Amino acid sequence: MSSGKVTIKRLQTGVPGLDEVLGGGLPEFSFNLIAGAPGSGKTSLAHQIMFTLATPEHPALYFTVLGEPPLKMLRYQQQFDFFDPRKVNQAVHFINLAEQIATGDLDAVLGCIAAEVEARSPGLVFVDSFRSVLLASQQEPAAAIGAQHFVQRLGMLMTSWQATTFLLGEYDSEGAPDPVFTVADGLIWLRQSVQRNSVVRKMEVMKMRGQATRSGLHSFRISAAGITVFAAPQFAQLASVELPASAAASRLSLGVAALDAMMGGGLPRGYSLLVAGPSGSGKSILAAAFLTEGARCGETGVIAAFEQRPTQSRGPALAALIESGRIGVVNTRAAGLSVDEVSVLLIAEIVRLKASRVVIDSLSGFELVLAPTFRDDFRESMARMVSALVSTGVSVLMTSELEDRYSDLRFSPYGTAFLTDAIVVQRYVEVDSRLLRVMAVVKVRASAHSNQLHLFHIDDQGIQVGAMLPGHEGLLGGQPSRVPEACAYEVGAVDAAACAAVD
Amino acid sequence: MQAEAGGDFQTRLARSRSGGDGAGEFAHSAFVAWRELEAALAPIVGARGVAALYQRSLSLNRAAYSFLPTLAAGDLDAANFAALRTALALQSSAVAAAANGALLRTFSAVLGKLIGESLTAQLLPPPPGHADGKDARELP
Repeated sequence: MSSGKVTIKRLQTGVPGLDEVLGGGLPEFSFNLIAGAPGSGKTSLAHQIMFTLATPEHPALYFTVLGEPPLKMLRYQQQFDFFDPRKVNQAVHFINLAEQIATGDLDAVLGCIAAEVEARSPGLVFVDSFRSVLLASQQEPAAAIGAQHFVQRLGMLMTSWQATTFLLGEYDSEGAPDPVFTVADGLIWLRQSVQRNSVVRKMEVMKMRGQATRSGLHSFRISAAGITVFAAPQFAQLASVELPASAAASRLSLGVAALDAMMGGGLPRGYSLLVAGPSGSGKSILAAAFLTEGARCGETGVIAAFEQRPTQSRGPALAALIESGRIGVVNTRAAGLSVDEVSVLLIAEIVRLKASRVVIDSLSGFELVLAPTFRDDFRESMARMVSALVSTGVSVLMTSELEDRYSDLRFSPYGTAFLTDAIVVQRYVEVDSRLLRVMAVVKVRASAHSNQLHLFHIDDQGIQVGAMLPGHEGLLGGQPSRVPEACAYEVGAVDAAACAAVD
Repeated sequence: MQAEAGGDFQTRLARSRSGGDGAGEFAHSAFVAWRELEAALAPIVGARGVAALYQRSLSLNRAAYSFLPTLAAGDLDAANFAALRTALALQSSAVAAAANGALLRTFSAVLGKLIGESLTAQLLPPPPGHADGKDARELP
């Protein structure tokens, strides 16, 4: 039985990521304000929504006032892919109000808008720039109605005519009270964050009556395709991606059999693994082995590559898999990059390829390509990203550059070690005037694993794990010393005595 | 409403191509055609936008047709087609038709350069001689 309550239809805006931020789409017949400084993308956002939603049956009216000259607006907006000239004067009608606004009589402006709305019965109405309307009225002391009254009447008019309405206004900050903030059902704020030599666009839905929006600032980018919003991943949605029934218990091979043994039989499916080590220790080679082993088992993968020369560190096997499309690559170095943007790109690739393995190589390179404004929140953003990725059911391997310090034992320069379910650390040690590599499993959550430090080297076949370094102690100090008696363990089945269950 | 105006506009343009019956009559039909063009375009780009495009078109054609009107006070707020009507009426029918045809083509080409041919075609009926694209190439 129907409850009799009104059901608000949510319009799909055609702006990637915006509907998620809005909480499912734009409420039909809502009265919205798109606010922001000049150049923040208000007009582009409005046009993208308009060209997506306008139809001859439910056309859009775009009132231009004293902001951007209409000729220039038409010239520049048609550079976007969404601008369809065939819709102009069919589904999209531009109406210039410059003459009406010049009188400063808001009643006359309202009358003109009402007449056009009545004549065309639009589904969408835009007023750009609405702030110009209010400013013009302030210069006219004899204005018949005040700004707030005008806004209220306009809102009532549009809702009654069942038009979803957008007012576009130049506002530098949301601090100053404005009557339209109160009257509007929705308030979308566009900002440009400038830090050092970097400019990042951010969007915030400060208000949207009738539905829960995704709070906070969301970075967005304007390209030839239009605006794309990078909504921070929401775990509740991602968690709906279920693992196969046996997946939780199954383990993935890392592509290095001896390391699988050290981990207690491989990496549990759906886990995140941090591989930390100094430059040149073999982290990227291990990451490549992880992906190629997946491909050998019929799985697909995705790699987010942030190294300076990613093609050189991948190796021929991985390069061939990328070439064949079985491994997807997220290799963006676009200015103003955010962790959320990379999360969105990665998840899109995961979904596209139905990937089960993901590599981020490396966190160090990743931090370098981020816009400065996002670096302060790197740790928090990484926590969100790792959770989002593993929520899709993939297993994640991240590499992290770790400067060899022999005075303390660290696994990540960012304090991100706690974020991952498993940690493998690589170190250099000096023995007999040689620089040798050692590797150990530091942590595998809820699983037994080896606690042994093993020598390893890299050859044409990849990583080769050897024995423990016999007769030495103090390996993590960088300069091990010989002990009188030593016991070397062979790599193989996990020795219960040498294993530790963590967490 | 716009479709009707567009139909009349086409007729006026056809007359302006042929030169009409006499210079005075032709000048008047050209005046009406320009007013219809303004009626179609001004609601979208504003009266000042139309006036600016019109002034630019006059300027580009004045070398070939020196009798075309020059800028007067107030012409930037709204296009002064009455001055064009007066100027055309003083010429022979053939010269008036050639000048007005060139002016229309230039106007369309200038608009096309700004907002593209596709959108221009949506907003305006095709101008005389548009198919050869000659005017667009002539623009600086």
